[in-house]
Amino acid sequence: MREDIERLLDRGEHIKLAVAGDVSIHGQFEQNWLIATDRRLLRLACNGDGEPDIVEIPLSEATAIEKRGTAHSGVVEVRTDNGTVPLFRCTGATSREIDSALPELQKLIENNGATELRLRRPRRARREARCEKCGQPIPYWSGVCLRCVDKRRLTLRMLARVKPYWAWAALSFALMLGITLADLAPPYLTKILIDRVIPQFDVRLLAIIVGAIFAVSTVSALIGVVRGCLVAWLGQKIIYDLRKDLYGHLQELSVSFYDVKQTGWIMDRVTRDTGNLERFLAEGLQEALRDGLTLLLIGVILFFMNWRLALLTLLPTPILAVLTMWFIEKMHVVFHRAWRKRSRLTSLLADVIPGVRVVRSFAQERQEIRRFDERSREFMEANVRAGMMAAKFFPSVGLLTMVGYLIIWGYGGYQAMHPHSAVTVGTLVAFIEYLWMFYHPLQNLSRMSHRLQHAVTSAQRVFEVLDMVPEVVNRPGARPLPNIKGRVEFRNVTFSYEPGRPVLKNVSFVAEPGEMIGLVGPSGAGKSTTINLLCRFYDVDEGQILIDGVDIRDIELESYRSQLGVVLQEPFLFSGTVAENIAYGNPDASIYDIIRAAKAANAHQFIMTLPDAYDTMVGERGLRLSGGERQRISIARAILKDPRILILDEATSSVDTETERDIREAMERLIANRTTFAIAHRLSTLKNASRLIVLDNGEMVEEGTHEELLEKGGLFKKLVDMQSELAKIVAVGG
Amino acid sequence: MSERDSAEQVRILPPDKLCFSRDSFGKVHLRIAPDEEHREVRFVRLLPLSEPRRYIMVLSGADNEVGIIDDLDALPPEARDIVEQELEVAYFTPRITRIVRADSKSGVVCFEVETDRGPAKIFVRDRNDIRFYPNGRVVILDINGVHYEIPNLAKLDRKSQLRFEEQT
Repeated sequence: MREDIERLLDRGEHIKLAVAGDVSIHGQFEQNWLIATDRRLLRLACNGDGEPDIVEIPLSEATAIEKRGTAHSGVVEVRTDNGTVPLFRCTGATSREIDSALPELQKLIENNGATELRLRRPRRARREARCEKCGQPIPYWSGVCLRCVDKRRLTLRMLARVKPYWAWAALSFALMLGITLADLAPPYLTKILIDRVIPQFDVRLLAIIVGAIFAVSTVSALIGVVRGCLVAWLGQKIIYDLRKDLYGHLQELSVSFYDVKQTGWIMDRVTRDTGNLERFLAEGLQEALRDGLTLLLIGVILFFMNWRLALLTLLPTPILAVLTMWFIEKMHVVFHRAWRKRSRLTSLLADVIPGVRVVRSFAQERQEIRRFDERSREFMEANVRAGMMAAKFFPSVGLLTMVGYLIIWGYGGYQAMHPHSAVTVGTLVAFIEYLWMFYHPLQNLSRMSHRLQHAVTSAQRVFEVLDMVPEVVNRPGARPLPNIKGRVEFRNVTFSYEPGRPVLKNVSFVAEPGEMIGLVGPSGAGKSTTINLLCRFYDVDEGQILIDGVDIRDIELESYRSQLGVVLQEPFLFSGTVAENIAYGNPDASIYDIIRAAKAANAHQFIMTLPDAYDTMVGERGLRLSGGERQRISIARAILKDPRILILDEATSSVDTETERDIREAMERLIANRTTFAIAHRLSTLKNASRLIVLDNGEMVEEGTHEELLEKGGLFKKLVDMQSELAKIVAVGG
Repeated sequence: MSERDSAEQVRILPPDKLCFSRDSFGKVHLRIAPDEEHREVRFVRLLPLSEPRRYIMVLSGADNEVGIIDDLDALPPEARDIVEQELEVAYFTPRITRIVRADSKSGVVCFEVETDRGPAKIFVRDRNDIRFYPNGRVVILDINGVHYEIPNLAKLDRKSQLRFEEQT
């Protein structure tokens, strides 16, 4: 295909963009390409072996390029002086790719081919997750392409985690070999006991053998204890290291990572997947080796004792192995189904219980009970099926193993009745005992491929996180900026979370040290994004943010953020005492610093009325504080941090007037002498701001003081009028 | 702005200049040398759990803040005795000397203990209400809001320790 395309190009013509499509302009499935070069726009369709079907429009003729349709599918049309030409049809993911490329293509047309396209790969919708390598869809629960997982490489990487403890691992393995060997001895000793000692009344040998069996069992048990302790410690230590690395890395990853991944996903990585690895590394691997070895050794001993009997006895084992594997495959399916049903049930609970107020207020209790009942029944039925499956399997395996014993007793017993036969009663007993020891590892090994699959998947998921590179990092040469004065400048800042949909467009403004800037605009205007960029949760796409004249990206992240304070609308308190929460970000602060900050934030008074004063537990499971109280604690936190640049996000809403006065007073103390950016829901609260910046749809539309903007009668005036209208309605209605 | 300055003020009381006296009604008065007087003072711990012997705020009247005693042990013995007596009333904290029995039923932990104030039965609804501090100090907040203290877990007898650990 690539050659086909290149053959079509003129000398010196460069491909700027190529998008693969799957639908013809008439809506039939076909393979085709949309290609943009520095000279023309092309559509190329392959119809079997014949020459490709080509539509082309020189860039010089095109005036505009547009897409008609929805986010899911549409048609790309090129406008020329002679009319509009439908060029390319796109569906699904291709459609999104086009959406993000279209503005760039427009530029290409305007500049007649003389632009470099800046394309960003569109973020794929979750249900479209596909493997980067093989293009196979990736199962939702895995997040990893199961086909492309390189098992050997991953197993090696897992083993690398054991490396610091290799001596202990080797010791544990050696001990296990010891146990295995020791366990193999007693049946053989029994054989000697029955065949020689008892018929010959050899009391001395009897004592020796009984003593030997006792000694071997004791040693085996002792080694077992030592090894058990060792494995418990080793496995946990390895995983402890891994968890530590993982969490350390998670804290380094940028905020954008947390936008994409849900909390549950991340928690699974840290707890469940590492647990899977632990089981495999500490137990699974060594057990597999031991089981293999046991099988081999028992086989050798059996054949050594009596090869004919051995051959016959082991006859049913392949069937048993195959049956077990088949069954495990089946079990896997049913049990997975049961797990899925359970998680459906729990997710329903997790969903509905926090929303219980909504349920009550809409009188949906019956409906919810019915929904729960439905899922609960599904779960029950899945469990019943799994249970029945297990009920069928174990007896049939029992029966099949019985066949082995029957052969020993039947054939072996018949042989043993003949005098001078090679099969003695002792051999029979030994055979029976060895067969017992044979089946267990056999079943374990049949399960092995699944265990390996689990471990490898978990390993891949853990390493996936570990391999992720934070997006916002210290640039090479970034330096600390210890004493920020607080001059903030946005210079032609453009930013988008998703390509093709800029949230801020060419925004420029300056905040002098100590100024308070209010950010105003309808929702979706870009206020929060401005603040996200100021916090450097993301980096700008174009333009610069300058702090005291230094590009924000040239300042060390930690140094910058340590001088930044944020008070959010919904202040987040960690589980901990009031004192700890105020000192968050300043763990070395003395109790006096904390009290000073609390007093400045008008929080000291109410803190002293809490049951344990500054030792009172708040947060998730602690004492419930009111919105205004949480607000003031977070203000105290910001005051204690003494930031140079301060960000207030809708800081006073949903509190009563009394508290609001307290909070506003606290705010004034906080704001003094700091460069402050504030988003306020109620526009009247921004009266004190030095200047207001009005954003609309990502663009800065107005700038000025409260009065100036009111006089100007633009968007700000409109917003203020709307709000006072609304207030009247509320006042009348409420 | 002067109001603001006073609001942020924290006064640490000089331990050697404090003179507490108790009148015949049991009320405590404070004189700070050379000539500052406060009638009917009260004591409030800022960190009642983590630092019970430090950071004690002295209040007079309804809510007038006199200042903070940084460290109880830095006070002269007579002053310390009076403050300790007052705190003892305001913060009843029995010390656990032995744990006789410990079990938990549906999440509620119950300790039967012997304390320096006699035997007691403690119910704890949430294991977060058992707080651990440096040097083996443990504070248990029971369901009624009473604080029980184990001054040093390691110094309890072996069986008490085991019973305690099983529940935490």
